[in-house]
Amino acid sequence: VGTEDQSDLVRTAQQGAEPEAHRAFAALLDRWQGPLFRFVRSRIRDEHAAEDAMADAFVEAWKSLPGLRDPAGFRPWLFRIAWTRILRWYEAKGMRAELTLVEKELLDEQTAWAPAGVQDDLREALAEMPPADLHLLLDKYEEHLSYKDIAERDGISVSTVRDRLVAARDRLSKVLQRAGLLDRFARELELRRKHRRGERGPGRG
Amino acid sequence: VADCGSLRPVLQAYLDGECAPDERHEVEAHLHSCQACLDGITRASWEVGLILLAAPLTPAVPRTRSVTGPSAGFAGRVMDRVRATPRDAAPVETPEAPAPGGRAAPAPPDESPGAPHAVPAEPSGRILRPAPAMAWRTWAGLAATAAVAAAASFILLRGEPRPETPSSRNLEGRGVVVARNGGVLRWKDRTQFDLGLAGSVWIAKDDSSPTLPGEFLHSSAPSSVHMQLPGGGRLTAGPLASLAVGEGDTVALLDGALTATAGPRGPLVVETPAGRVETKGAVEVSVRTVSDTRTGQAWLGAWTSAGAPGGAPAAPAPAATVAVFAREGSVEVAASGPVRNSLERHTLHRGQALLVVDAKVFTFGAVDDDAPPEHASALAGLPVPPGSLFLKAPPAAPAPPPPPPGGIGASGPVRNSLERAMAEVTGDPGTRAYALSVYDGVGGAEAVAAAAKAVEDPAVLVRSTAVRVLALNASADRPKALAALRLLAKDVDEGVAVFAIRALMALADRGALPILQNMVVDDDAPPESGAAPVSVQVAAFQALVHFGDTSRFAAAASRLTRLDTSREPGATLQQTVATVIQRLPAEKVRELLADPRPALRAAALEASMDVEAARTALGDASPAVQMAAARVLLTRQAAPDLEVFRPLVERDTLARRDFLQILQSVSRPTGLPPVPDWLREAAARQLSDPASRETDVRSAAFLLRQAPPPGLFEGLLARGTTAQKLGIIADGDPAPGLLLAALADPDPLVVEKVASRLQVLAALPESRLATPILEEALRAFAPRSLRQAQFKALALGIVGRDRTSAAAVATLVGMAQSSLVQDRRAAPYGLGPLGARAEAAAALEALLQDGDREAAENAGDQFLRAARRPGWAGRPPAEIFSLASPHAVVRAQAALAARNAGAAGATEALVRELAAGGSAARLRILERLEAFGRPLDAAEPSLLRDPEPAVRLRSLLVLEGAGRDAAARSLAADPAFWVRATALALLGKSGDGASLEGLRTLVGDQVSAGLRVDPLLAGLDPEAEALADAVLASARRALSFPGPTLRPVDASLAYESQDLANRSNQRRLCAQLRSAPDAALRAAAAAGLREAPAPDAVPALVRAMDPAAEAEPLVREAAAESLNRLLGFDPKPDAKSWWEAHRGGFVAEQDLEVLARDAR
Repeated sequence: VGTEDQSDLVRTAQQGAEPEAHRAFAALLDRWQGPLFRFVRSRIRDEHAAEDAMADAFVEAWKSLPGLRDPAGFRPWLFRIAWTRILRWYEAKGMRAELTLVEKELLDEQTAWAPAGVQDDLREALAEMPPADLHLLLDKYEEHLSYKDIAERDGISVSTVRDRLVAARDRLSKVLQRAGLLDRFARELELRRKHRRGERGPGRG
Repeated sequence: VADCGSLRPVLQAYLDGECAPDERHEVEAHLHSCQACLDGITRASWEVGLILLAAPLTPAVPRTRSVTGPSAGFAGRVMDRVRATPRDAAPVETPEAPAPGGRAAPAPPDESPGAPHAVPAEPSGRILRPAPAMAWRTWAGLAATAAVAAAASFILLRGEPRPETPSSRNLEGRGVVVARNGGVLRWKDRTQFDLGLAGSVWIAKDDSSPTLPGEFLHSSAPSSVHMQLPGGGRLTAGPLASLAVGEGDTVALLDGALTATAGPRGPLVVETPAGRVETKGAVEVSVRTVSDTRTGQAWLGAWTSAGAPGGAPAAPAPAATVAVFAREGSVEVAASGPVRNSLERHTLHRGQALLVVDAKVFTFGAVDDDAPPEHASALAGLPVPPGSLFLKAPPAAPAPPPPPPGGIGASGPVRNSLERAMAEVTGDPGTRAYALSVYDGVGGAEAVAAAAKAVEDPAVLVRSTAVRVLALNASADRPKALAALRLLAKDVDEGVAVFAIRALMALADRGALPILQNMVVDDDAPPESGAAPVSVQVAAFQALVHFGDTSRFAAAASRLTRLDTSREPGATLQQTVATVIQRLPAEKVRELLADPRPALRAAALEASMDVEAARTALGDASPAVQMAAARVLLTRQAAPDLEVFRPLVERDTLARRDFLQILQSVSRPTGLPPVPDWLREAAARQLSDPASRETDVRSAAFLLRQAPPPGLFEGLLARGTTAQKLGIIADGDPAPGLLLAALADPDPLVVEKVASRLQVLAALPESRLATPILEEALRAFAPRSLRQAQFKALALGIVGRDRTSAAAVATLVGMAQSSLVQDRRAAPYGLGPLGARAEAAAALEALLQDGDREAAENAGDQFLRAARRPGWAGRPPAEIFSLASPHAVVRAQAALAARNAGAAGATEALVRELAAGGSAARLRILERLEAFGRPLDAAEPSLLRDPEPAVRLRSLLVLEGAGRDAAARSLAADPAFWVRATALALLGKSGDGASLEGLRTLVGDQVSAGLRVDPLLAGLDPEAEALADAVLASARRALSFPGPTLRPVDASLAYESQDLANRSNQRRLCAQLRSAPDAALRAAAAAGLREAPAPDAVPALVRAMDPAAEAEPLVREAAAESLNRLLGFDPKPDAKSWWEAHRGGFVAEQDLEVLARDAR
């Protein structure tokens, strides 16, 4: 589902009459249930509990959908709801959970949308990437497949998956650096985050 | 340190969260030492951000479906639930209006999407209401259908087994369930369970089984219920309430609280086992009742079979009327609407009635002989017996002023007067803070909403009260409470900010991490105008470390150099920094020992306790590091002699002070090493310095006590400062003669210190102080306060017993017969140990009948102890248990002593006192019973219905056997957390597995609601069988922190909040100290002022110490103690201990309110 398609689905699910809204939400559910399940499952080892938490997250998302202001931000928004569920599950056990760096990106709304200029540059830069590398990276970070998932699917060892990811990341890094995108993205990200902190309040004094 | 290149694949796995634990530790250790890899990791995470950004831009990437995913049919099941769940009605904003920064940001998950606390929207108008005249039985039939739906939903909640999700559409087809947002039955906090059910009984027996019509039902859900009543009224039932609905707007409230609004088609009637509340006109009432479950079931059965009375009123009623009658037990009632000002949380006790007509202000009092006849007609139909207490109309009350424009709007069961009070930001902050504390009493989301509005109040007192209200009620609306607390964490007032941060910490709000991180700034950095005060930064750092975030470690630790670590906030910072360092790997600590920042070097040294490093560090350029080295060497007893520290001690007074303190603390258990002359001279200089604090004097006096320089102690005891005198008395161990002379000191603090030392001297062998000298000194000593009198009595008791001194006993008997109340209150402490002497025993017995309650109760406690010892010389307890004391607690003490001696009828007498007493007396009696007596076999029934949760809890704890199990069963659904948890724990320990399961759920629910339960429970594995024992221990702990509801939050948090309220209330306390008519109230105010300095606290205290201005010694002493504390002398027991010692109570906002009310 591309950005525009997904945004349309989200809008229909938000505002549409019931049969259409339900159909649109079912499409979103179909698109994201796999990644979301794997994300939740990576934290909640009990498969049934993970599935319950994910189902709750989807129902909560459906309920709260009218409050989502930017349809393009659906993916991180949904994952944040799921993360809240995971946190509650941990709290009920008297434990805590923390996000990894990668998961923080996954939940950050800034990674769901970029200005048009950045989008074009990014698309252009990624065209230089070998398709297999790109697929591997997307399987890992968008689809949230584990090393084991990929290894079993491709019939290779877990360490090979890891090595391939290292290589793919190296190539990606070079491509992004050549296009000056990483620094630009990092700067922009930091600016936006700073701005967001500023919005929350000027601090003391 | 591992090689960066070889670690690359492991770093990749670390980034992807796929590391094995040992690999993770390796990576983390490496990242500590390798900035390049740390940067690389951060950069790599940005790359992932770009990959995610690129995903939708990448065309036709084939997705693999054959890998791990949810089970078959998952999407279908979710869609079933989705179809049964309405979307929230929030307006949708299109992204055409992007937020600053380029785009509209989706709301964070714990606010908008997570919103489990959303309040149901107003009815949509598609409501199918049952016919108003529907009979109860019909009604119950509908209820059964609702019950099935409710029970099914609970099964869904539990996740086992998994039936078909109930669909509101299906039920709607049967004409039972109305459209969404119609009559709403909503379990807050459980968003899955959100079915629209109209006008039905709230039903859920337990989490899994359906119920029968008319059956008594109770929900264990920690939630509120909103319900449409058949007659058009509405009600909100509080968590854990038990109720049923009859025809018309008639509700039977068995247990718990509800707020209800009368509908257009008739009066609203709330029946409770304790009495009946009837309203007419547009009035909203809140009713609270507590019932014994079994009796309640029988009552509810009778209520339902007789049919609800309902119907038209017997006589024409005025527009807005509330009539309440408490038949048995007590009913708590509050109202909004035209009579709300008249009814602010009244509690009616057995036999009392209340009538409010036309919004006139009524008060409790005598029989209303002058009531207009038409008022009596409003009571028609109420079973008011002759001779009941009625309300009396007061003189015409002035009309309340209209609320100012822009004030807070009215909604919900709130009171006009409270809203008005909260809106008047230019008025008295004390009034607003009080209004907020009333909201706290109401509790729940309403309290959170009111406190959240108070965040911007100009008065510190109001904002600090808001912190308390938010912290204690956060579970009702966690997102709102946390948002408000995060704002308060940035408050301009340090006290408010610090406490808000602690509240966030206690509420486990990890969302506050960015705010906390931003607060902690580096001391080495140029000062920023917006930097938080140091105490706030320390609190923020402490919270970060609590959450496991040590990212601000260096910034926080750099402050240590400039802070005095012997007092706050330096002490906390030092402790927190040490905590972090102790968690670091050894190599990282070694690196810190070479850190350029002295504070870090010093902290690392103290954390490592490394002797070799300390020897090296003695040559460090920084005094802080040298001092840390001295501490390490002295503590490890690794210094060859004290000579090596000479340069350090002679550097300056600060270094000398710190060194002497370290030396005292490490030498106290082991004894001093040989003290060289230069160090004795340094100590003498410190001792003689009038600017020395008491702690400095004590450490110097400790060093010199073996051989003080001639005349030094004598001179200072005669002419020194208070700090010098106190320090010498405490640690200089002056000669007895010197000590006794100081009893005549004009400073009461000095006298008290000497008096307390006299006890020690009395217990030492006669060779230290001859008995005649001690007898004479004690006889001549005229205490100027109760505390001093207690020391005198204790010392006399010891001399009388251990030195068999007849003179001491005679002096004590004289105290017992004194006309001074303080002497009589203190005498029992000395007489108790002398119970084997006839004259002492007689004096103790006589005191039992003293008119002063405290004197008599103190005598009662000593009598309870002494009469159990062999050789008791007084009358046998069995002879005096029917004592004619005017005090219920004393009569109970006598009965308890007789019961311990096996006297017939004593148990019955004790139970009679328990049954007749008010909550406060009951609590004191139960405390004695627990401390001195055998458990009871059966509970007095009214104890288990007492409105004070602490009484119900203690009642459980003083029972044993079958009686205990029966009481536990009746309290197993108590609304107060600890009462309920204790009941379940006791049942569980008796082998009831279901109760143990219920207990686990109860505790688990509290944890999942985001509350930090008692620390004893927080760390427990919910599966552990030890849970029941831990609950019992925690419940006892909770009892030591009195509160209105024994809420499940960590008791120390509640205490801290009260403490803060006191501290922030200084201005009010100053006024109270100056002008309160009651001496106890003034003394309480003086004690409350000791916690922190207020601008006018010192003048107020000084004035209160002056006998010309303050006649009551109790107040003068409290003022002196507080002033001493404020000026930095030796910290005295805190306000709580002081108050307990003097009044058996607790200095807190509530107590002051009660005292003030009594004084009026």
